Amino acid sequence: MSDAKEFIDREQQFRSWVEQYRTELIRICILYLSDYPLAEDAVQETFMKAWKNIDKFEGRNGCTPKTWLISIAINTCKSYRRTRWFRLTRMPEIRGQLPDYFADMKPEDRDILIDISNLPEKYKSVILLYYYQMMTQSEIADVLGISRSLVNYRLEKALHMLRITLGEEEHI
Amino acid sequence: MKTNDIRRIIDTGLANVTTTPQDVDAVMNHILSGSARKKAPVRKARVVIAALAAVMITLLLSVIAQALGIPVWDVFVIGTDNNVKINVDRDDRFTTEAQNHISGFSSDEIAAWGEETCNIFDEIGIYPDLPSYVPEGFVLTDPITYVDGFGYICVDLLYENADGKTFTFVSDIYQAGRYSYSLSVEFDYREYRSFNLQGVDYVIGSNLSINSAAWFDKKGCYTISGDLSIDELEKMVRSIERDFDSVIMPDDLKSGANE
Repeated sequence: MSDAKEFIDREQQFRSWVEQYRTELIRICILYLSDYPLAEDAVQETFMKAWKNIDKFEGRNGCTPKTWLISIAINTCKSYRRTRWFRLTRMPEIRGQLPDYFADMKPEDRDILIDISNLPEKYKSVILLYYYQMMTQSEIADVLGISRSLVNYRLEKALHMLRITLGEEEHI
Repeated sequence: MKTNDIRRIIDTGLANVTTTPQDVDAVMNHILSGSARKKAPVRKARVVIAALAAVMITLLLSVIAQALGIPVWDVFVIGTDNNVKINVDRDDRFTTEAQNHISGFSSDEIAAWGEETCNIFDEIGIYPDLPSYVPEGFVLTDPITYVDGFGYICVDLLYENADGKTFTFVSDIYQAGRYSYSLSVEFDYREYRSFNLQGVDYVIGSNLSINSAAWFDKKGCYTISGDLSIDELEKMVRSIERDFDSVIMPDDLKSGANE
């Protein structure tokens, strides 16, 4: 196969990933960053990193494009959150708030999302990946680069924290 | 409510987040234009605007203040009297000694910050000198620890009270070995306080409308900022009981290059 043909094939494959996963990636990033424009930037950066490192992905066995892209997106959001600008200005601002995009939600739905977004980062990650992305614990372990048992532990602890904030009657 | 509903709630709440063919084209064009090293447009614009505004405000205020005879640069930068760069041999004794104790923190520090916070530092094996006073009602809600690109161990603690007021306590802790650190604190000069306590310089002021206190010692560099008054911040930093080993002495200060 010629280089040009290979490039075109790869571009088409990558385009299909953008079509398929961009929306979900933006939703995840919004929940991490509470900011739509910043989430769009994070997703753009995610795709750039993925494109530049696509050779590494092709060498990884058992990893789906989706889990790979999500792991890049999460790490990108984490690096955004760790900037001094975010830590000193955005973090206090967004505490206990959700972006305007959630404005039309039912109050009880809104409460649960605020409680999730207020979870410490490591617990929020497992909750979102398990219950929103419907990943298995093994896939989450791959994405986060931690052991499966630690995923299980964090999931249990996160649910325990949510039970406390939502009340035992919520049946989580 | 069940957690299985989480997917439905997020998808419903963010239903207006979609991807159009134009969005896909924009992503692909950006990638294929060879601009992979460029920052994404919105973020880049924000950075440029913020940088320009910061430079212009700083210059303007500096000129005015200097014209009025206010010694701006003495309080603009903390660290030493004359030099923002320090290059000091780190004294590791505090870590070793602290690890041999039941806790590296005093009972006052534990009472003020809570056991969870002290446990976070315990896990890392580092014991900064913490304020013994924290305004009543604030509880730890979101601790984050990581090692940044410069090798500093960073501990970010977000505290919140029942009224929804928050503050962050950010510690950048030096790792073993020699270190060099400079800290620039850009205040808007409307209100600031600068003072030295037990050998450590503190700056407290309003930074982009958020009140902040900043200082550093031999163990690390610290910032407290958020919904706290200037008086509360001063009360917090004045409550720090100094471990003598953490104070940077004049002999420690050198103006040489970083190692």
